[in-house]
Amino acid sequence: MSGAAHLHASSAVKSDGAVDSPQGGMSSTTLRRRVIWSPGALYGAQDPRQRRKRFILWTPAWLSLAAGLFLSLMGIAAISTTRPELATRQLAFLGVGIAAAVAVALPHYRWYRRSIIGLVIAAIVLLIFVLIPWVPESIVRPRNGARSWIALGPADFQPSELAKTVYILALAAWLSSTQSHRTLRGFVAVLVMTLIPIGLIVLEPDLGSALLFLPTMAAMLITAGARKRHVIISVLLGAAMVPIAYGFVLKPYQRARIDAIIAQVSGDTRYEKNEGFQGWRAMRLVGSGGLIGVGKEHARALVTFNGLPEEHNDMIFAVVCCRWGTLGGLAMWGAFLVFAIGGLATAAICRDPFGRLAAVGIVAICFTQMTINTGMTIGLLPITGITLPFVSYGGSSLMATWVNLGLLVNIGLRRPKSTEKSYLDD
Amino acid sequence: MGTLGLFHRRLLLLLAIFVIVGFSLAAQLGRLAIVEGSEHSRQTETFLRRRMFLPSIRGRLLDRNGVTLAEDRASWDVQVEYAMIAGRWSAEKARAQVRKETGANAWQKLTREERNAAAAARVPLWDQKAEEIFDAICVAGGFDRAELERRFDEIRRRVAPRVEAYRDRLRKSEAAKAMASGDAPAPIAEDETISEQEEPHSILADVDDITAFRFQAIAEEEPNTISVVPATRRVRPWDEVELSVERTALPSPLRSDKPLTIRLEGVADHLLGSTRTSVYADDLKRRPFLDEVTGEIADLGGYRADRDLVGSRGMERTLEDRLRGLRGIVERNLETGESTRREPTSGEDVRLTIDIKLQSWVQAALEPALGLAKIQQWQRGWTTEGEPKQGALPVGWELNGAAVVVDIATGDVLALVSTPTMRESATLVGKRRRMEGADVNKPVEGVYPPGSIVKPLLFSGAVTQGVVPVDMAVECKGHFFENVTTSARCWIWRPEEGRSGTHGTLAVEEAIARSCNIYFYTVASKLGLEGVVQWYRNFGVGEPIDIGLLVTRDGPNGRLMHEGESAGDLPSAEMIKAIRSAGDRAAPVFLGIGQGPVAWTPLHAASAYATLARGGKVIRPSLILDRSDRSQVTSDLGLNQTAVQKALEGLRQAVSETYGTGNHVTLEDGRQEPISSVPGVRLWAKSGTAQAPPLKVDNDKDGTSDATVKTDHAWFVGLAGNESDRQPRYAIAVLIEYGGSGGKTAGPVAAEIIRSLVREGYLKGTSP
Repeated sequence: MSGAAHLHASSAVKSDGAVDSPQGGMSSTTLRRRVIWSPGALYGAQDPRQRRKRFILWTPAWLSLAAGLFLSLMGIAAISTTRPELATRQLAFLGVGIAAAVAVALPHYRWYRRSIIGLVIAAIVLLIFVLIPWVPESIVRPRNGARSWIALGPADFQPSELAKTVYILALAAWLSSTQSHRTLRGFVAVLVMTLIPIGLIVLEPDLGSALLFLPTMAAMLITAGARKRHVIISVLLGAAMVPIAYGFVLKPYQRARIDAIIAQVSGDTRYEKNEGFQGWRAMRLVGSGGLIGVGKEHARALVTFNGLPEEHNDMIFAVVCCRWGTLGGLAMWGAFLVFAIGGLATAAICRDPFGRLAAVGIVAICFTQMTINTGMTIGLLPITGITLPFVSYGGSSLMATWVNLGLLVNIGLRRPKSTEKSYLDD
Repeated sequence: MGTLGLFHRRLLLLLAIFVIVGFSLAAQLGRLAIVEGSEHSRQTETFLRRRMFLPSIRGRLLDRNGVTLAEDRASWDVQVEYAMIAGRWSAEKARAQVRKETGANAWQKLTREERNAAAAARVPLWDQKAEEIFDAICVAGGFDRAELERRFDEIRRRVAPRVEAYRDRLRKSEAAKAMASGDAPAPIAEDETISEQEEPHSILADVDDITAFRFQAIAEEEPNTISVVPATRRVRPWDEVELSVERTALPSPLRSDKPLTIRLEGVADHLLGSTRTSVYADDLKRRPFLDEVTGEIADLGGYRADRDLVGSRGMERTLEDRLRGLRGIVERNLETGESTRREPTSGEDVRLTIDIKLQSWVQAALEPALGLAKIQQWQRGWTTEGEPKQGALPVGWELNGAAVVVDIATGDVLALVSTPTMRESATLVGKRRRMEGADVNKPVEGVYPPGSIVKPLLFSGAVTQGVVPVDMAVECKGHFFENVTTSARCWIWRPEEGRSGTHGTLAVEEAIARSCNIYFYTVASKLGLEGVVQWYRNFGVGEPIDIGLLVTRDGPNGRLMHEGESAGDLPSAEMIKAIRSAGDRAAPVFLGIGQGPVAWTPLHAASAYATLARGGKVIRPSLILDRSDRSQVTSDLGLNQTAVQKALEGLRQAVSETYGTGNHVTLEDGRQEPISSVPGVRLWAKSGTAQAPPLKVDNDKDGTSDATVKTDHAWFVGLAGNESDRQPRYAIAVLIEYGGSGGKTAGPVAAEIIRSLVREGYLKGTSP
């Protein structure tokens, strides 16, 4: 590994030149002894050799954990607005989720990296399994027309949730073990790899979950040092694909949704009674909350009699904004931002490229999911079936989110065995 | 930044992106909740209120004595859920039952096959239950299973095309979308149901309380099967009347000591009119219930697009806005459960001038069953050899007609009868309805040439205008023009039939009584074409009278269209010019005996005679008792009163003197029998026999004419008062379509009406 890191480092120096190098004037021969840059405010400018403890207690991941806990509790309160009985169940799910997070946090995260081949195979097998048409409906029961759930007795399990986490770990492993993504070919190769889980999940079909992969990939590539021009060109290409997809790929009902969302953002109520029904209901309920919300009882009445579908699930943010108003919504977004800051700070402190990138991926996927979910609730994005992490009702979703949080804490608590040096520090 | 590595700079970039995304989201939230908040709040709050509208009661139509003629009556409709009608009820019930037993969670976990299998096992039990319910419905409704199946079939046949039409619409819209985008059209959901497939349908309408209770028991035993819903119906309590008509005073061939029981159907139905439940675009435009744009309530008394009760004919139509009430509202707050209630306002009760009993008697007089409105031999008479004279229509031929009675002092229309009634003709096929003029309210919509009944009117007019001396005498030589013997003749002079007698020299009284044509050709020639037309106009021809049945609409070419009442016909200015330029000498003089380009309704005739009786003062006849211009003189023709007196004297002689055309009928044995001989009643009346358009005869009653017959309309128009004060009180007009001789056909009907006026206390009379 260290040999590979060396190679990376020298090429990084070559390619990025002195400008990118924090210790600009240092010669490459000192690389082996150098420590990663560590913010003095947090760590103090200590020589890493004096800090050989492999386990530390203070990590910014605790911030993320606090935010996650806050969001989960707020979610339970929001669910109790219309579904008190489900709120109790969600509390139980939260317990299970936390337990899972603890379990995930226990082994050193490098263990996951070592097992990554097995994890990838398992995830792909499960994704394919749900697609096999002759698997009986008692095992894979379609929900809303999508084959994305496996029945496991008391709780159902969504392979795409596993796939999301495994994808982050796999991509982190890949990007930290090669530097090929800094070339065009390597960049494209990452893109193609990402299309595997996307394709399998789109086939279920679960468009919402599939949408999460590309932004996550982009965030990880950006932090993994991909060329700016690659990133910018691919974003532009992606943007150019949108009208092409609209015209040739999307089904009429999907196009109608896009039309509806464009009308909706511009305040055109034309689709309020048909394609845009759910979006409009959610938007109006969000708007009804005003600054400080209408309170639990009135919010329950409004949400119930406005007939908002999935109000405890995908549309929970509408309930939050209706009940607690703009302040409630801002508090929730604030918590997500705290979660992201905690995760990114964890990545910043972490010296291990795999741990860093995994932390970034965990933050990115959660933030992306939050953006799509709340964006569709407030009428900025088309409706796709996607939950709000930590907040929405559902054991599978909550568990997956907390497992990711457990991984983040795991990364935060561990110190790399060696002071590996990555090209990224130059 | 210079001290940060690539990774950390990229982390900061990522964080910046997150913050930007966060701010964008927050901006939209602020827009929704702060800027647009109140509007969204208003919208969502509307879902917390549930509004129910309470039906209002349509006002009653009453007769002049307060007798109810039309009212809303509560009844019940029995409806069956469409699931039962379509036969999917058992399957749905079985599924629901299994689902309930399994529990919602466990049910979720079952596969489709498992669910279907579990449900199928229960279906036979529910099938049996459905059979029991159907049997119970048959017992409660008093019909057999075949009848129930027939009714279900009817509903299914009504719903099926709608489902197909809906799917068709969907398919077309998908195809249009596909056409626009170039994709294959998206398949439509074939199992999607339309509202008609989810709603209950009426299998039995207008049931009484006791039957409704029987059905209610079934409904309560098994919910979601049948429902008993309240329904209001417009009923006419006097629609069917049974009368016992005295026959002792009828012409002797019809006379009997035993009264005849006549069952009348559709009494006053032309004038009362009808209601419809389908709502037209015009109604919605005129008075919408909900505002088209905002969807808010615009008018509690407005019309609902889907279904509403709308007056469509007769007084129900013209009095619509008075009869219609305002809906009530119950608004329930779903959150608090509180509700506010605003009671409906009933429509206004409107009293008509009609006396429904008199109306019934008058209708009875016009019923062919009594014998007066039928071709009888006495109307044609017998030759001097005692042979019955031939006529255009066979003896016994049933005749349609119209009659109207107007109170001279007030203008109140006491009776307004048209035969056949709407109800009597309801079973006729469309073409026959048109041949019978069944939909025409003949006394106000039927337009007929007036014939001789205009003679006293034109005389009064000519004297008033000063073109004719009040004591003018005219010699009847049988024909008017000096050397023309084929045209403009008197009715008495028919040399080709061997009748070459003439009236000789007559003053106006006798000229009216004998209905001498030559006298009135002379009057018309003195008035001139414009003068005659003007006097017709003065007596009301050319304008609808507007007794309360008139509906005026904008027609093509900016002309007004009249519905419900007719204006009658008069030659237009162009036509007068054309007659003049053609040098037509005959047309103007023909107008003097009510022939040629003039036509009016029986109501015009009664109104004109009432005006004559008032000495020229015009009071508009009306059907509405509380109208503002009741008894009010709206104009005065300024008639020469001596001329009026002479005209009235002529009318008296016409019935009272043996030479009068309205005096008697001659029977087979040569005996003369007075047409009207009601003791204590004085009658001033004129018969009229007016040339009619050829009658299409439909002997096989298939709706197409087999032959045309030339014969005349029979008029009898007069004034009736008490012998004691010799004051005309009621104007009566009778028209029998194709009845031939006015005096002999329409006269006895008028006499029967006068006896009815006595019977109902309008005229004193003296009991025989």
